Amino acid sequence: MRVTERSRVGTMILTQNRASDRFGNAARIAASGARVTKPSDDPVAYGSKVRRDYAIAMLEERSKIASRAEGELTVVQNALSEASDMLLAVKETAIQGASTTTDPKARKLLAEDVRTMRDSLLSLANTKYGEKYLFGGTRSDTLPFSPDGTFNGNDQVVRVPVLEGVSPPSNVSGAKAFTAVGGRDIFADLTALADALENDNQAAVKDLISPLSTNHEQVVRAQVEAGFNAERFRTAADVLVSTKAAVAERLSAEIEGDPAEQITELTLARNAYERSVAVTKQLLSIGTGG
Amino acid sequence: MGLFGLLSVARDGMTAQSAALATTGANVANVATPGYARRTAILESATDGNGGVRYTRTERSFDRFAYAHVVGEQSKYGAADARSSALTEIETTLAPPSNSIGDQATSLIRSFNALAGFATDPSLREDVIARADNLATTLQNTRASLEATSANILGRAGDTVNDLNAQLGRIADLNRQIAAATGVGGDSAGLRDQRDLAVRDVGDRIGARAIEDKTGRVTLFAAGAVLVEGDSAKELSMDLDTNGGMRFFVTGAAKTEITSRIDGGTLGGLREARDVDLKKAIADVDAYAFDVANAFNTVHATGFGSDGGTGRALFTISATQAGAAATLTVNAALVGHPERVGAADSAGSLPGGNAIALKLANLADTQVFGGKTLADRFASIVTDVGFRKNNADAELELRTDTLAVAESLSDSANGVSLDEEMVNLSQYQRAFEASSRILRAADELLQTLMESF
Repeated sequence: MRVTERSRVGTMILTQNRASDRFGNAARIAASGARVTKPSDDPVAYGSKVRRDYAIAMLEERSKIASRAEGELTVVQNALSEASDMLLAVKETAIQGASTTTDPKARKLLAEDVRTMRDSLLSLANTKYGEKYLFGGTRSDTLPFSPDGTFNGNDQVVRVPVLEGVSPPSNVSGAKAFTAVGGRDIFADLTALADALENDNQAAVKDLISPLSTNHEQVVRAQVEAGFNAERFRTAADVLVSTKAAVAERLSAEIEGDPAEQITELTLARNAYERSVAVTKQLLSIGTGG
Repeated sequence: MGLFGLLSVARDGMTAQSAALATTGANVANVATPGYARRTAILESATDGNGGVRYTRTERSFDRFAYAHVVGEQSKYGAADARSSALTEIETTLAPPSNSIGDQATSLIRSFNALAGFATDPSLREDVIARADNLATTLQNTRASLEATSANILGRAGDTVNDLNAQLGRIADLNRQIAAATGVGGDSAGLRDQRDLAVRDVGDRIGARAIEDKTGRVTLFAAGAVLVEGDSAKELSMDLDTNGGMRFFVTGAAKTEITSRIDGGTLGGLREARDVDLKKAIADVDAYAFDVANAFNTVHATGFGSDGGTGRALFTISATQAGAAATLTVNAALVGHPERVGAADSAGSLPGGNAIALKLANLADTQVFGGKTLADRFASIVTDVGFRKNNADAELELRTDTLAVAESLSDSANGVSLDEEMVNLSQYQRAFEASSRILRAADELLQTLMESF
């Protein structure tokens, strides 16, 4: 075949373009570490990237949600822990008040103590986290317990999404913790105790000791429930973080490729480009020198 | 043959070698001229009985089949190049490095998740509205960008049609000049170079086949129509059909539509990119916007805002799918009113109720977006455009190679080889020198003869 100048130059340009394109691509991939940056790089891998980016975003968001829910439940747990301690103190006060060695004056003082503790308990039952009342159910913008102990909230459970199909409760029912819905109306019992102590009614005080134990158990049950759910969120957050890391690793393996392979390809592409330039220079010198 | 005959032989030799040297000089001078076909000086034995040489003509070496192959490959290359270039724009619009439609949809779902976690947090309600607005704006912008690409392609097709008409007129004009030159026995090689280059240019734009008649004129066929016949050229024109698709016409004695035959050259590539690839991308974006808006609206309308209101849509969108992305906005009733975001499933569960926010958060994982999940739906759109671009690039690479091979074959037959020309140059130079030497020898012999008297 006759080799003409145009075909020689055409071949040089084509080869040079190819070598330059290969070198450019290899440099881009090696520098960014990403084998797939646009759909046409690898349509199937890009589709996987879209799905996994979404999965990673969800895992990240739900991990944040789980941590925040755990934080709220920890506040609930602390409030209930204090309430539990307070109810034990109330029970001890009742035992002291029921004692035959306690005189009426002392019972009046104990009645005052009980009323103070009832107010503190009421304050704990109305605990706020930010602008949200924690024991009002979904009526979280309203004071859950009035000063007389009336419950203004509801018993609804707020479920929070953490894993696909898994939405643990992020609240503890104030109704179950403090009202007859959970067994006994704690504020009514405390009011009755204070009244009995005030009126020096030793028998009535004695009769209230057992219900006070029930009150304590009722709050402890709620505290355990809060702790259990907080633990679920903590575990979920851990699972989400590790799952996110695993998904990201799989994604990077698919999208980023093997760094050693990329560096090797960059070296090969660079060599090919340099060879192509050298050959082009030689061919051009033949053309002009002839 | 006498001494005077020898003088004639030497003279004819010098004349013939001069002509051959001039041809070689022209070949060397035009080695890089586009469209130039090498010339060959045709030398013959003289028939005057003296045994000399005679320059008869300069022939344009031209392999018509190799050239036709180049024109055909140029057409396929033109189509592949135009389509690949348009698909680059479509791909970048649909899948930018960040803030794609898919990214914005993911952000909206994230905001619903956050709201489901803490429905009483007013900042999270505001975030839902902001994310929904971002998604709507991105869908609108994406569609507008695709429409702009469509308009650009249309403009480019219009320019191509104008260029084509200019080239068709030029080919007809060159046909006339070639026939005139051929008729008077003149040299039409330069005109043919220009005309064949123009034919190749037409091939690049629309695909063409040229057949030369005895007078040297070519009849140019393209897209199933005769575009140039003899000295007259027809005119191409384009407009849009009722669906917005490009239509092409040839106007001669009558106006004939040739749209369905435009499948090669730049016009063929632009037509496929705009009326097939881009149309599909726009339809996909519209369908995505329509399905996403309706899926979210259906669930959101069942929710109760913290103001107690219900039955509100999250998005406002057209009733039909066509053009949906262009009309997508956040429901105006919600803008500036985060309390109207429906997170609760009943008025009784306000303000902390989150059942509807939870449903909205989980909506992305259900197959309510045209039978797919939200991420799958976007993935299928970008995967489709990725495959199209991938195929177009592969086609372009193939056509680059096949065009290079065709050009190489054509150049092998029609092009100038400097190696050859250098050899020819030496050969003709030596032949000229030898003829000159013979002239001198004959002259010396004549002088010797004259001196002997």
